[in-house]
Amino acid sequence: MAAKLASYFDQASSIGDFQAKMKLALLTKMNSAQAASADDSPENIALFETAMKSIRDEFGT
Amino acid sequence: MHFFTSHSIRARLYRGIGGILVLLAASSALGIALLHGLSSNESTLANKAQPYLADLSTMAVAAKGAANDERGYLMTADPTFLDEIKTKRDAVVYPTLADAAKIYPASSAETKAIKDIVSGYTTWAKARNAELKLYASNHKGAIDLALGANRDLRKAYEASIDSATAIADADVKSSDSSFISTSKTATWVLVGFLAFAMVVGIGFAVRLARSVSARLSKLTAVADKLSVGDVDGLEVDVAGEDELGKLADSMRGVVAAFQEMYASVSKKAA
Repeated sequence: MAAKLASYFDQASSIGDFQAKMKLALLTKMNSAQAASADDSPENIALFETAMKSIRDEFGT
Repeated sequence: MHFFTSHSIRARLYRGIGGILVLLAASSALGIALLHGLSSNESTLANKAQPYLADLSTMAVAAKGAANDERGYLMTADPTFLDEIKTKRDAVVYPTLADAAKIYPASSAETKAIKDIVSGYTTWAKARNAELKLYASNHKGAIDLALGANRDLRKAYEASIDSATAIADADVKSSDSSFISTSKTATWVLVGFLAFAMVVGIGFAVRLARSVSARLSKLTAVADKLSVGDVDGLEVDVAGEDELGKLADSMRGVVAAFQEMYASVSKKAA
């Protein structure tokens, strides 16, 4: 169970709602269900962090 | 170096087609080299053995004519025979032998054989001229010479003509057998090279086609499902570091985004 990865989708939702979640899925190539079942490995976390940075930049927060 | 290590389809195509072209170029170069060998064989026949034999034949006919004229004079005392010996026989024999001596290198067996003929014929011709001169004053003595010592001299140069002809015949046979052997080798080498190029080409084409078409049909199936919104449980099961692998990676993101969109919409609807 990857609670941390799944939480990125909540963060994305709070930043840009539906669009940001889609962008996060697009960049990480995982949807929220897949993120919830994936490992919270350092690589995955790094991937999501990079994607979140891109989303924050795009949505201006 | 990137070109030789790249996994991209383009680089693989270039490498495969380039490899086949290199093989074909190598087989063409080999073919040209073998043809050169065949042409060299033919050239030896056309420029050496055949003219040499032709000169020997011309010379032998003229020498035989000289011997006939010698007998004709001894039988009839007709001076026309003496003129013929001078103008039609000796005048042909010596220049023809001189031509034949230029065909092969001076140190060759063929040229040495010609020198033997020249020496033998010259010796016989001198003895023959003396014999014909003697005929005016001593018929019997001249005929004895013609049937005795001078006949032996004639037989000697005729034997040297046979030796020279045997050498030239051996050259022709050797050249002929070399031609056949080179031609067989050339055929097999070229067939082998072309067969190898074909096997490599077919192997390359089949491998590339399998690799590309199998993954392309998987990606097409994913795109078909995406196009009708059938994204539930959809996965992009295509790997690779080439263009198709990259396309699959991008499609993974698109599928995930679609799945996320559908999940969000479903959640909102519920």
